[in-house]
Amino acid sequence: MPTTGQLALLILAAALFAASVIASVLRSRKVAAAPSSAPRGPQRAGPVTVGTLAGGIVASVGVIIWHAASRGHWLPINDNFEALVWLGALLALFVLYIQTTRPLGALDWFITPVAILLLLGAAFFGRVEYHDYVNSTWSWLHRATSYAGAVAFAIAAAAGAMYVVTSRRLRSKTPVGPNLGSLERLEHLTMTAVTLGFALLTIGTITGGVRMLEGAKNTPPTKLVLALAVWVVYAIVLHAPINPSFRGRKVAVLSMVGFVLMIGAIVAVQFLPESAT
Amino acid sequence: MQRLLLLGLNHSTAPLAVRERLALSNEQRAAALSAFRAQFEGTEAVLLSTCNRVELYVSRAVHGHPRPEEMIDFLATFRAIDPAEFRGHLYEKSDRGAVEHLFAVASSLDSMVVGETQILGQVREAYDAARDAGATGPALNPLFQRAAAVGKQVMTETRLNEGRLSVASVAVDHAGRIFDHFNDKTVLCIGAGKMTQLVVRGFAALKPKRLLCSNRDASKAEKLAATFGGEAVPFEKLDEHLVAADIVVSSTGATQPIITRSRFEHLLRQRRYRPIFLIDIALPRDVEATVGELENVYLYNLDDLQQAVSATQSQRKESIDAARAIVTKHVDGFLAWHRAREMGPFIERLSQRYHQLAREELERTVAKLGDVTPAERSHLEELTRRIVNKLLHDPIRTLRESESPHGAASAYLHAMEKLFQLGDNMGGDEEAAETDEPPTTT
Repeated sequence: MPTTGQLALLILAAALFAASVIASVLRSRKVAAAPSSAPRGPQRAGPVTVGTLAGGIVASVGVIIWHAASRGHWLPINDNFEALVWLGALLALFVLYIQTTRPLGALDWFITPVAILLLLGAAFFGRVEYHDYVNSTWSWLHRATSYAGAVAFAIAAAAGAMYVVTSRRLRSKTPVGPNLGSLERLEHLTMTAVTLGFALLTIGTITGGVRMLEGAKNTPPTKLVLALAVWVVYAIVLHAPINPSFRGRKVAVLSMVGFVLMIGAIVAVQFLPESAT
Repeated sequence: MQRLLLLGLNHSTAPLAVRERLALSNEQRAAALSAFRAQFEGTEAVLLSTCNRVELYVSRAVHGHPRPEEMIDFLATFRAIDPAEFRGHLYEKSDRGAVEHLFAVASSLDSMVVGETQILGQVREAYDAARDAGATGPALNPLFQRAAAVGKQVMTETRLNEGRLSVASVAVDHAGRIFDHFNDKTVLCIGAGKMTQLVVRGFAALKPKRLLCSNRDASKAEKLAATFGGEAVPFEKLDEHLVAADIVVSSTGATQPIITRSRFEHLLRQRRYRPIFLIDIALPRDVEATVGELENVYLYNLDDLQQAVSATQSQRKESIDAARAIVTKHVDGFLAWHRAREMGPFIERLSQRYHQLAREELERTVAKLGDVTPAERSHLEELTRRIVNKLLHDPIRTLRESESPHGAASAYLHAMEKLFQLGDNMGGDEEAAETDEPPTTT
């Protein structure tokens, strides 16, 4: 079990992420209420949003270091608890990078809550049993690529959701509210993230297969089916440039569906009785 | 006595599909005025037709023609459409209501985009066209001149046209929600209206890769292309341009849509389903509404853009209130002037007539009395004058105080005209009144 101090720091990190979202929403409302005679582009993150988000990332990384130090194993993704915290911290880091370099509307509204859920999931459900996979390169590579792929798919899903919202607003002729970013940029972000995530997922699938051949414990069938479904869904998404009738809203929706399946493959199966990892 | 009538529909009462059926071009408007006056002799009329409204202002005798129903029939017949198609979208106003409405229209308070300045020019243009056609006279001349002055005062003395988005800026903003950058995009402009130029100017500032201008009249396309550094392309190859374009601004004078769903569906595959932003600012519309249902097609017409602009109105409440105050003051001033102008000659003649009758009766009585001293004569004259004044006091006071939004003054005047048999004497001043200017209220 993580120590009480580690859990407290983790809750603090989640609270800071939540505060950054609230600050971002309030800032957006304040800007929207101010008179303007010019159209507004995507809103740049305010200092409170950036500060709290950065604070949350520092706290998350602090938990990872503390946890690794207390266990004496420094290789990342040592156990499920640590893996979930890594996922949350990486997502928050991505948001911080985008919103401070080239803001993308309310990207933090869509991704930061996922990071918060991951931290809370780690705090309340994260397992800290040491696994032998860290002793196998294939196993570690399988874990690392799968989790990195999940981060990419989370970003793709968030961009996809923003695409759907923006597209619906434009179609309903009421594009009020914050500028979530252009459809073109959101589609580009979705495709980039899916391409990266698909490559990582493919590596994760292959290394997972190698691991099974090496005699690791049997992977639950549910996980195998879900992983295959994720792979197929993202393969369809990547098919869009070849079959352009798929581009746009369909790609966005599929990227969200794929992420839900990915969550199922990585997180949900952890709590199934048949789970072996 | 004249009665002012207004029959019309606008953006708040009728959808674009109805407005475009009734909208009139400049040529059609001249023909309509001519036909109207031929059908209803002795009337005055002004036809205001813009992309947001079609309104017919008429001045006719109190109990004359046309009645509102006849005005509806006239519009339906002239535009060859069933009255049932637009009857439910119409509003009717008379006298004070019509004056209030016109002043609000000229001040842009009744516009979809409150504070836009184009409407004032359109009101002036409608009036000029009616005046040139000989369709205006002593009733509508001062009314429209005053309306133009009120509109100008509102624009100069309030901040109504500040702090609002323009249709062009909203179009560019919406494009920015579809496209990330424009240096690899193609903008296609079809037609060459004033609004088109404003919108194209906004897109030209984004420095698109290509700016194509297409028009049935090639010289107009070349002129527009030269203005914005684009290239003129043949209208006959519109399909090719639609495949290449990412943003299309369309504003032709075509009476039927030039971009239909069936036409555009074929182009989608060639476009490889790239998103396209279609801006249709024509009236009647150039792009079939169902084109907007196609995947990756974002179609906006004038109403859609104006509604986005109107969302900024709540931030300008103070300016709107100030503008309304100016309009109300001018409506009161104009109606007071108008009432005085209508009643003045009537009261004058009424008074003259009855004092004359009294004097005649006095002379007759004095002749019968025979020996009347100057002092006695003076007393008698004073007596008759007082009696006449007292007899006329109540009717005149009632007349002066009878103004109401529903034109009760006109009704009283008409009744008194009959009762006191003054009809023959009422027309004399009309020619003089035609040149009258209403008082300027500041």
